[in-house]
Amino acid sequence: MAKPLRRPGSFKFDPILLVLLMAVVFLLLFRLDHRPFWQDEAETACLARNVLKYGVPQAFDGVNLISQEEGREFNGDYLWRWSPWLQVYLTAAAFRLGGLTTTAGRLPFAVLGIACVILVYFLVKRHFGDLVWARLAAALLAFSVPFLLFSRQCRYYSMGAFLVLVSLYAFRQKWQSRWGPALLLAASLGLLFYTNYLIFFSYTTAFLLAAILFYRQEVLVPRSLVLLLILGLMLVPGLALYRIWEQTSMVEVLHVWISLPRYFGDLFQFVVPLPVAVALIWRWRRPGIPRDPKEKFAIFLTLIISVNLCVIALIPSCEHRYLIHLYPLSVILLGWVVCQVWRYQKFSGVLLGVMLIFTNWLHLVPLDWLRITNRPVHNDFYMLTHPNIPLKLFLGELFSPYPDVNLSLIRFFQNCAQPGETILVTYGDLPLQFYTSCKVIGGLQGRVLLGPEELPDWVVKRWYTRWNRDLNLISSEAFIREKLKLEKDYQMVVLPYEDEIFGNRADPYYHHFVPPVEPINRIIVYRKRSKITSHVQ
Amino acid sequence: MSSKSPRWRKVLLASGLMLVLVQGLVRLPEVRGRLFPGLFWEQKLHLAQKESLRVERRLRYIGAILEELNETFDQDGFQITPGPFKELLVLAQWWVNLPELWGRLLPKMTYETKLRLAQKECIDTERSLKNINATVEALDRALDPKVPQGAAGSLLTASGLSQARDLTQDIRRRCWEYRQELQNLLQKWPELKVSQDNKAGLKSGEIIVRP
Repeated sequence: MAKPLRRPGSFKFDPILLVLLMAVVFLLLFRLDHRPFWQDEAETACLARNVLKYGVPQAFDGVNLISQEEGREFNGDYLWRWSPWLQVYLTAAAFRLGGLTTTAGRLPFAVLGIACVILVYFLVKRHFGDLVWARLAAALLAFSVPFLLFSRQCRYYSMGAFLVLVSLYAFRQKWQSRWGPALLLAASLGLLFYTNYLIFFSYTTAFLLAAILFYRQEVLVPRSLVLLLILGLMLVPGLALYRIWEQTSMVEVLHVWISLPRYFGDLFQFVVPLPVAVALIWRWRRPGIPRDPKEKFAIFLTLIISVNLCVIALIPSCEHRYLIHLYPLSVILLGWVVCQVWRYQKFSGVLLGVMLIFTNWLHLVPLDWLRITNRPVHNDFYMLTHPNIPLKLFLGELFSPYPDVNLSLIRFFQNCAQPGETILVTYGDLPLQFYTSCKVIGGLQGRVLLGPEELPDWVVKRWYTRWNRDLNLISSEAFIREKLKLEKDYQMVVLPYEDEIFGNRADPYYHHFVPPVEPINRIIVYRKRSKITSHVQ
Repeated sequence: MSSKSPRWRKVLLASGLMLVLVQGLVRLPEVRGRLFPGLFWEQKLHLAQKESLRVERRLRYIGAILEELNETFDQDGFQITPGPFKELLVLAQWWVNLPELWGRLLPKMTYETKLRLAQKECIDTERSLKNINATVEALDRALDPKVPQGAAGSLLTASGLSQARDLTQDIRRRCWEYRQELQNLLQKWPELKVSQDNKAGLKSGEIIVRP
């Protein structure tokens, strides 16, 4: 199988790459607006809209407040200081070109997802001259449904994966003797910081450690120091601007022992199947660096992934989104494994390749045997936490989208609420801010003013109860429970759709491709009674 | 991985992959839907049952944390029985139990973290119980022959139906017990009461907690 090309780096038109590209372009760009932004995407979109208005990401536009951390994200000037601005400015540029639409907001990130597939292909082909490995790795990424879902979000995920790949690409170039690759390496890591600094810190630590261990001879100290200096200079404004030091107080060392198994569980359940990981550990059980450059690169990537997980486990919230930049690295590793298995026994190689590209069975079935699959109670059979053909689910959703909780609420308020009316919602405030002309309060904002006798015109008390970082009930929920008399002052409207927890969240534990057979918790909206009377008069 | 490996290894590899393939195929929802009608409700029931077991484990875990806190720390979060020899022993075995080492070196932090962990588990337990309750209610509606849209009733066999009813009863009973247990824990440990702490912020008519 793994036939070398004439020489590494030579370019020859590859029809398989073309087919893969056409497939991934379709999968990432088709009906980008099939479902509206969910809360996190809407945060980026609302900040980007404010960038167009004010030039900088302001959290307050005079009517609505953008916050999911009870105002921790800004000072009195409302300038956003919680997360880096790169994704916000990219979205703002897309809005400037394409208008304030869902498609425009998601487009640049989807394009970066496509670029990831191309980069994976060329990284393998150029540096190892192995066409089959390159094709396999690109196919594994192009058909990885979690990666596709995350790349179709108006959020930094695909940008992080792209910059990680660029850094690897530059690292395998002659950065020791040429300034082009050297600067590219520093720039990619610097931009990664401005994409998401959690990813930057976890990946860079892992990358440096793995580079020193496996490519010690190639790491020239003077050049490395210059690059580190350039990188440090790039980080200075960000370190001053964002509230990184304040956020480090959230790090809880003892939580590593809870987060670490969860992250490795996620890795085995959705990225690198447990049997493959066990086989690799067995193969590399003896210490030493393999002579084969391909195997050396594979073990280098494995170390990056493992150390990255250990570092990211320090962060208190354990989320699958912090692993997305590791998907490209994992597919390169899996591609190499398939090539090895093919060389060992062709039948098993084909079987393994087909199962990895088109199913999630190797990820889930062995975990089910060991009874260690993580499957929350709100999951159903048609999700990535159950054995499925993920692409079928993904295409099914694209061709027959259903109104999720955000779309149902957006449609309802677009039809029923007047511009300027106040909506109090316990979660999902940001999509409503983006898509309606109402004043939307509540959510996780924590700090929204209402007059002493003022009642919101509309109330949406979401079924799923939320607590804040201090483990207190969120203020909007507490306000509704303590201050409002819903039965007396409001009329209840039950919408015929499920009150899902999030909507179009890409996380495999939460992404519903099809609506439930029978809604268990329907969306309930409360309309102010005095409003009904005044409408009748 | 040499291609000259013994034949049995290759057979083992291929048969392992084939087994996963067959299991994956059989577990596909489309295939299972054909084999077992009423699949959706069966699955909901199964998940509710599993979640109730998870709640039981959580409660045991919370109990264990609290017991440990009770035995090891005083009310200010400081360790009750320190000792240099013990410290040395722990240091010598740090690789076996690193969290315990942290506990001994930073008792205050450990106390707070463990309490916070117990709080988080309480929240998750409350969420789980709410979820199970909603699922069981939906199941009851679906199993009720008087309700026209009682979807599950028409799809399950008579024995399956009675089994499903027994199971929902069992889950409901267990959840009631778990709720009582949780309430008892919250009464014993007022620090764990996390859900109603922010009433003070509501006095001025604002939704405001943090200055």
